[in-house]
Amino acid sequence: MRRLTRLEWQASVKQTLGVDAVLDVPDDEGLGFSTVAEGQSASASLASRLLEASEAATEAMALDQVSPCAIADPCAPQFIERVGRRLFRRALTTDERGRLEARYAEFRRAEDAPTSFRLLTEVMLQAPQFLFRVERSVDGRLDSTSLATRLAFALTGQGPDDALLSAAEHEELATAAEVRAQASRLLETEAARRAVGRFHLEWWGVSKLARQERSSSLDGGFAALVPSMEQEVSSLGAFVTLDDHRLATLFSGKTTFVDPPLGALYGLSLEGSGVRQVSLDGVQRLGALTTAGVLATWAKSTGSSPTLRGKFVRERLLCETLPTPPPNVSMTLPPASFGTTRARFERHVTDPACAGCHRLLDPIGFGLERYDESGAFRLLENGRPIDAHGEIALEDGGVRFEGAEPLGAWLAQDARVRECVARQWFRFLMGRAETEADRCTLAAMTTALERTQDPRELLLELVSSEAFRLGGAP
Amino acid sequence: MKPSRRRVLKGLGASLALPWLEAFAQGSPPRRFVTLFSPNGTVTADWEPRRTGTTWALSPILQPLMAFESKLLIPLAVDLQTATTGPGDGHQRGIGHLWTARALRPGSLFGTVSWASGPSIDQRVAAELGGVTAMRSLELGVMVNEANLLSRMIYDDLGNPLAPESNPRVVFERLFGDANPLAAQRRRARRKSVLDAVLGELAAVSGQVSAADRRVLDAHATTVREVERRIEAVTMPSATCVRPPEPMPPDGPDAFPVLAELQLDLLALALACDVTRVASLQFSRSASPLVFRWANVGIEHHELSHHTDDDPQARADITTIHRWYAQRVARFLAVLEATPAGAGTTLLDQSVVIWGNELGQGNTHSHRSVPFVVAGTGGGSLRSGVLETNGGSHAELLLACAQAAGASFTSFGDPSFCRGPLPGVLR
Repeated sequence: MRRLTRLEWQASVKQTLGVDAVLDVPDDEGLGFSTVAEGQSASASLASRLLEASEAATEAMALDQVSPCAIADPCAPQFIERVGRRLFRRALTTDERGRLEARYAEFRRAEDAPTSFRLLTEVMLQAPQFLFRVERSVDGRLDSTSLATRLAFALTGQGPDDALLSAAEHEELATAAEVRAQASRLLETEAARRAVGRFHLEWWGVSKLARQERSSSLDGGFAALVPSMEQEVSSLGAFVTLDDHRLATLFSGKTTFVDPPLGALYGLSLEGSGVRQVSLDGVQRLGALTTAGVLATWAKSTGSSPTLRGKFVRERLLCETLPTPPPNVSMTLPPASFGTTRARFERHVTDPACAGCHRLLDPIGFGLERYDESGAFRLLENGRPIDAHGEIALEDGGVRFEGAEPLGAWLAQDARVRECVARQWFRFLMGRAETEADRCTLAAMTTALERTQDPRELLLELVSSEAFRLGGAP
Repeated sequence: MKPSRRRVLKGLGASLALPWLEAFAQGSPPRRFVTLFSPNGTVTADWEPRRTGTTWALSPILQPLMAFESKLLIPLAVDLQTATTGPGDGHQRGIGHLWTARALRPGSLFGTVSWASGPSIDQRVAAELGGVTAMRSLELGVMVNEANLLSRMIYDDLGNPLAPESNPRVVFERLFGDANPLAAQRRRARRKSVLDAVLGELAAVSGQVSAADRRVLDAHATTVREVERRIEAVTMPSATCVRPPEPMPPDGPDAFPVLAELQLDLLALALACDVTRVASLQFSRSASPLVFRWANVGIEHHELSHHTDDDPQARADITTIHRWYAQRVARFLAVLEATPAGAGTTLLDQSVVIWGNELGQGNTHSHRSVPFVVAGTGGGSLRSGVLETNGGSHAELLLACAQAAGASFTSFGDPSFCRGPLPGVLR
């Protein structure tokens, strides 16, 4: 059973109570994603922060806006029914109404009516019906409000809106076409833009960049640029999926979204402030691969790392599972103080003990060596020219290239990458690893992508699939 | 390093009877059990004490612990023998086995592996010793930041990872709550009734879902009950347990030294106040990327740990880092030593503190000769000095330490690697 992630909890509180709540606890990771149920662990740290965040949220909420009925005892049942339906994402059962009304009476013995309404809301914010995605099945088939919740979190990272919930309650989510129509509507919302952006941040690893540091000197410091870097990857992912409709743009497009400070890092001089769509023509950048966020994520704090960047391409873009390093191998490199990173890392490929794996990894990263650990472009390292020849070793031979541009172009056209994109979306949306039983669903997703080249079609294919609509707890 | 008791335990509160003083009146003072972790292996040659004839001299890395030499046990050549089994890379197996002494679960969550498969040693100890205090156990971190296999070392009985708390303000709040007793009391009452209702909903929903979902809800309910229990417990001030000023933890990458100091002080206070008897503290995480600028080391720790033995600058830097950690440990031990625990003993005398690492020699990612240090005398049950084990099993070392703290179990971790307490540890 899936628990709401930190961001899903916050977004759902905003959506239902209209307040900005902060749940200050890092999301667990599994398969690189925050949404994977198996990775989500219980902790007292989470429980106590949920308590505190719920207190803060209910203190900040405007009671009269949440409930049009007066904040007085006769309105308690109506408050429970109305707020409960929004928070639990379905109408409450008779039992639930009874339990909450009894709690209200209990709170009321010690507190005034407004405080009792707030405490009741606190309970609901921590109740499993809100915190977890409890799915119900009828005759082995997912019930319609559970499907609405599944669909809403998949596409918008928050609970269902009124239109979706009403559709579910009127049994208007029964067919693939009805689900597809609701999904298309949801994908037009701002929440979908954020959710699609979030997927890209986690998939490309950039969600882990905050709180990291990079040593190369940037104007204003590296940490100050991280929010702009995250914003770029998120916006680019949302743009490709929801506006441009061409997956290739993600890997080889010459368009992106930057504010002036990040633009300056790319050699673009922009006026004013704020994020805007810009062309990368004439700049040494293309697609998400050369965003500063991605390049800095897959680097060390004190230098670029061809190994990490190669590992990123293999694991995240080609969906390969890499072997773990053998035990008791000396994993050492010459000191970093002179020469190029490439020259130091060559040892990985010349030493036979390392080469088995590293020849799969480092040569990909060598092609990105013209970008340092902060994502800044460079032609020299320690005064020496950078050799950006790289290679992707593949079973059917391999691809040699020089620099980021041909690498991006290759990723944009390779079928393995498209198949991997489908798998990554599947993991993020279903909250689990794919199994043999999912083969048909994944094949349908990949086919939709092959046919249209449009990542949005892949999403619509997944959410209207039988596997998504009918059951099998994710 | 100067004992920092004055800094931590500033001022004198009302002298109230502590639970452990009552316990002492009835028998022996209670023991404490603490695990400390620092990452990325070591430079064995700079860590191992040096033998001259029949005497030993502390190494460059361990030299800061000199003041407590008579209360240290340094077992040499202890291996994470269990790490020869199960899936995972060197760091994953290292931190996953360190306190659990069991194979990791295979899976796909983190490459080829999932979480650990059983409880960590502190949780086994807490199951026996933790029942009487406000907190069964306390898990602290210093800039752990992430939530994955490399950043978790403590596991409950079912192999669920327990997240460490890295924010000193939150720890402070849990230990001491609101300074205004009336407001505190009112808030406690509200929180208790809210959590009671939350537990009611958890129980109701739990009865309607599949067995697998029920396990998830029950695990969450256990943590809610733990929070409820902390709310009920009030820390009683006394001569050795004084509410410190609320910490103002700094932010940013260079906050590590200050955060380390704050967390270790709060840990010592939690023990002095008898809020808990079982605790752990995790510095950063396995494969830690910290840059120790405050110790004049400019390259990130994990990267440095890969450098060859014949790179003198790297070796010097790594030794500096581990010595820095040893200084933090020494400071913590100094606070325990400065805290009386009745009958002329100190808190250190009643404690078993194990400092460990997920690797031995860092640049080979070896799980052999892992740098363990055991400090405190466990109420007189622990030996001191250097113990040559010649390939001892760390499962047996952990078992011996648990027994020194008063635990009664007789095997720990994977039984194929635990024949009993490691010989030479217990008196």
